[in-house]
Amino acid sequence: MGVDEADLIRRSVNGDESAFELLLEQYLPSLTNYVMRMMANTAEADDIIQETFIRLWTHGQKFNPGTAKLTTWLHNIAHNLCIDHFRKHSRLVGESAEQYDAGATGPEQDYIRQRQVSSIHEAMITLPERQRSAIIMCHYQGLSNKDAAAVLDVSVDALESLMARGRRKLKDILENEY
Amino acid sequence: MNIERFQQILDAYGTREDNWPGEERQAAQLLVQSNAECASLLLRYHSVDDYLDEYLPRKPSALQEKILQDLPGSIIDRIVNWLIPDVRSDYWRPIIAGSLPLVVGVMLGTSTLGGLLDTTGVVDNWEDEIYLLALDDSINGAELLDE
Repeated sequence: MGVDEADLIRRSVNGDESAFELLLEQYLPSLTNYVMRMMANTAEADDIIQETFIRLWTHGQKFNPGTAKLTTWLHNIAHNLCIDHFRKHSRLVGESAEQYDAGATGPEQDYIRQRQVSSIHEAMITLPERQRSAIIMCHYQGLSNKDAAAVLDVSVDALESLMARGRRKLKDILENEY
Repeated sequence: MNIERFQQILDAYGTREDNWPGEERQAAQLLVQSNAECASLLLRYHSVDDYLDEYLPRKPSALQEKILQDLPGSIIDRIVNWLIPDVRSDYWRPIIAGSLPLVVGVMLGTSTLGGLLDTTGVVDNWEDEIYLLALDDSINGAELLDE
């Protein structure tokens, strides 16, 4: 936690928009990466990211800096919103590979890279949500195993089991494809 | 740290040392350096991490402005927005918000005190008036017809 983060949260809870804006600047990129990887659709991801930060604004007083990091608390909210969404909408509506920031150069490389990106995205989306979330948090988000386990409300052993099963499934899918 | 635990770490966290559990990282690194079997395991597990590196997030939309614009305000703000959605001036908002209790007070006052202050006894309802006339013994039907 930064030097002023506790103060920023306290001010934000009291309705100080400038304090909230600083928290938003700090955590929006990381939360965006998490939710964008969890969801198959940008519009749905946008709604979940927005709702996560509205919860910080309206329910920030529930955050206890003594028991968790703000990033863990926000990931927990975002994760629960994603799970709620999956329960309400059992069907995942994906988007074309052009939506991904593939960063290729020539047209041929573009095509190959888009195909690879699209394949890995499709493979990730086939994973059960908790396996996907565990892998995203530990591989991309830089959360420790304890923090990721806290977000998923499981033990570290259970988290490792989720990640191992997810990785095994990914390997099976992608090695069959390439 | 033994090979079995090292393999469990690779199964769960992959081959990136930064992703290994902090309290076991150093022991795992030492094992890789000292044990050829662990080094070959590391190569075998590499492919999944390579796949995962291709899993890029979609291009983010301009959410920051939208989140700030859509922040829910206080209850008074929400009532003002509901009553007068087009008020944009920050100068008028507190005036309108401050006058809301006054308006509510006047409305409550007229609805409750209005009945109590009405001492004229005038009956506005025609049905009630006819009923009261019917109860009055001093007026008979013939007189009414004469009038």
